[in-house]
Amino acid sequence: MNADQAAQAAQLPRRIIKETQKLLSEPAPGISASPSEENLRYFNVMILGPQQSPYEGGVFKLELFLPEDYPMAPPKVRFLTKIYHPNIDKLGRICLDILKDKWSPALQIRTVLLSIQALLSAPNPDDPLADNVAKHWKENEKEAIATAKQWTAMYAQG
Amino acid sequence: MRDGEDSGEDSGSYVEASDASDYDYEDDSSDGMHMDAHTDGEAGPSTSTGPGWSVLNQEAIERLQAEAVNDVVSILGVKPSVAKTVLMFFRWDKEALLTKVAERDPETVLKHAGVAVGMEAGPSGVVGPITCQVCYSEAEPAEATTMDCGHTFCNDCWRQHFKTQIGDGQARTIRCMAHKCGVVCDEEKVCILLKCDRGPASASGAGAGSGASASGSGASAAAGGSGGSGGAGGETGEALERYTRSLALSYVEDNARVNFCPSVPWCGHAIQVDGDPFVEPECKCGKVFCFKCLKDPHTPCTCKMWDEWDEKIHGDSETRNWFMANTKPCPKCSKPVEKNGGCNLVMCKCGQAFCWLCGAATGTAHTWQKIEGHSCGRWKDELDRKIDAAQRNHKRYMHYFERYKLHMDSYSKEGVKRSDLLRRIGEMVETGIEARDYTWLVRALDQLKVGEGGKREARGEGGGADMGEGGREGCTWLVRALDQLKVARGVLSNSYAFAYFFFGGEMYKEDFSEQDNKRNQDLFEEQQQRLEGEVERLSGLVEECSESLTIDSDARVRVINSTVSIESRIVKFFEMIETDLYGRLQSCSAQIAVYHPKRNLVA
Ligand SMILES: [Zn+2]
Ligand SMILES: [Zn+2]
Ligand SMILES: [Zn+2]
Ligand SMILES: [Zn+2]
Ligand SMILES: [Zn+2]
Ligand SMILES: [Zn+2]
Ligand SMILES: [Zn+2]
Repeated sequence: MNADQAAQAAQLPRRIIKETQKLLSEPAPGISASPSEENLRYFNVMILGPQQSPYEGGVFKLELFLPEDYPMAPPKVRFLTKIYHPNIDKLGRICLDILKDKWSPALQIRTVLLSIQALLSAPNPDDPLADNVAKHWKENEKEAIATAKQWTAMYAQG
Repeated sequence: MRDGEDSGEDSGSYVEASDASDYDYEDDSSDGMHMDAHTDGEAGPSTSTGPGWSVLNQEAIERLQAEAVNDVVSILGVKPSVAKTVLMFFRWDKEALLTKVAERDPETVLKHAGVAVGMEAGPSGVVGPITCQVCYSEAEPAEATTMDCGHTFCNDCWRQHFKTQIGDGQARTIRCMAHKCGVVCDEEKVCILLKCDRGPASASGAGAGSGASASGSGASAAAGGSGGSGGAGGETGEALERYTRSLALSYVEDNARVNFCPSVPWCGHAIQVDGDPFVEPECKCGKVFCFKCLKDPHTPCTCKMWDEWDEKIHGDSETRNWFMANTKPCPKCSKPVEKNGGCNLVMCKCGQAFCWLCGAATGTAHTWQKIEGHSCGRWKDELDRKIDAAQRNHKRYMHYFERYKLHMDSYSKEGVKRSDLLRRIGEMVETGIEARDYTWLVRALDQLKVGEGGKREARGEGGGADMGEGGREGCTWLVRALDQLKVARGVLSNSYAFAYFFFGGEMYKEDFSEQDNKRNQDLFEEQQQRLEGEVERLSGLVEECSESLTIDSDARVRVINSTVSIESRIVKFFEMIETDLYGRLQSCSAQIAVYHPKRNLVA
């Protein structure tokens, strides 16, 4: 940690420092998150596609940002890797209740990322963000899953 | 926020009766001519009999809210803050709440409404220091708060959470910070937490003083870094204020039975309906409005009709349509050119000829099939017919609009006449006419003033306070006629908007065959015309009377009879509209405000 980072860290709320420490020391399985050097509220995230899902074998990059009023407001998370999923749109935005109205200040970065990982295992086409993908999923699940696998092989190889 | 400007007279009654400023006519004589006025201050409870609504002032709102809370406190055996949470969840519909409680068990209902169930007996204090699961700091028991659900966080985090939620407009449903808890934070605790953050300086009191202390602590918080919770007293104070205000307004804003009076500037009143929301109440300030859509009174039009009508006469889409159908920009100078007659070759003032159908410049000569120097497939095509339809539609609209407008204008004029009459009688009284013939004028003046919303003044001069029969009659009949005219003008103008939609428009096209529609329209127009005729007659009579102010008893009888007759015509008119017109709709049902005669009709 250089002097600049140390100065930054001194201004961070204790909660963020603690969460960061824990994320680095005890990472959740299949998930890594590390703060950026320039901005300690910005995290580079990687999630491994869960087993038995169309995303298995993929490495998905995300960005996570803690806004000024975190933890009163939820973190902002976005997929950087292209992914074929009914609850994730073209821009990588995620439709997940805890990132919106069901956010609770007692939730953490870790729980958020675990929820996103779970979303990969269990897509929910009834609450879609990407309408055409959700439609595809509902009308022809087999084919949609095949597309998701294809995309994983094409775009999510680290 | 506002002061009770009307508290002087009504300090005793919070619920102001809808007809407080009215003078009742109760008459048991069958000739329909003798009308008795109650000019004495009406004593007794001012609950609304009849129209089904009442005017609430600020205190009445607070009182009714407190009453509802107390009811639920005693029924469910919960504390007041919980009762309020539940009532807000049920939008202040106590019946709905009780029905739900009867259907399911109270616990489920309470839980659903965001109330902690089965925890209330538990200890709410914290024994030792805790680690707040939001900021991860250690907090002494005094620095942490446990909500009714049993979840404890540090006070700074709670405060921060409240401020965020209040800032997001969620003041009425601030939930516990624990994930999936969903319990609404106790009002008392929210207030205590927000209050004790106001900084030491604010102890001197609220208002201007706290502004200075707020900026002071704000600066120190900024110096200490952006992190976490250092409370700026002003910001927290503001949040507390917003919170309290929001909860106080809930009784009106969340309540389907209560609406604020839409007067601008706001008069400070709200209207509560007993049941039927389709009413057109008159506020204490004089504003009459549709309770359902808050627009101007519009019965017999439905809210939907009125919405479209309003759009039509103000948004002017019709005029724009007409313009589109009737003018086209000249291809040379771009000025709109009107199409006159059937020919599709039009000529602009600038001398340019062009084809109406495609808008292109052409030569000036044409035959039936062809324009010189121009060939276009749309020449003489069906567009012509569409233009005709637009024109026909516009004509139809203008027919109704003109009549609507005419009565609207008269409606405003009746108001002017009333104040004019008031002024002139006032002048006569001022100049000291005390002859017996004019004593009724003195009382008429009082009557008018009451109607104008002014104060009742006890008139000392003359024997005005206690007149003989003639005088007592004299003091009201002319005023009443003017009021009746105003009501009738309103009904008539609205009835033209109604007719525009009901007969031959798109709205109820499916409901009636052409034949039925014709029959309906005839029935309607017959009554409308009669009412109109009677209104014009009375209007003329009243004009004569108020001009001379010396009235023979014959004229008075005619005015009184005509007034009564108009009232009963309006009642019948509405009966017909409700049963014979709306009552026969197939595709949908429509609800309108029932017409309530302002005074008792003489049978
Ligand atoms: Zn805390
Ligand atoms: Zn809780
Ligand atoms: Zn008002
Ligand atoms: Zn309405
Ligand atoms: Zn021109
Ligand atoms: Zn021609
Ligand atoms: Zn042409």
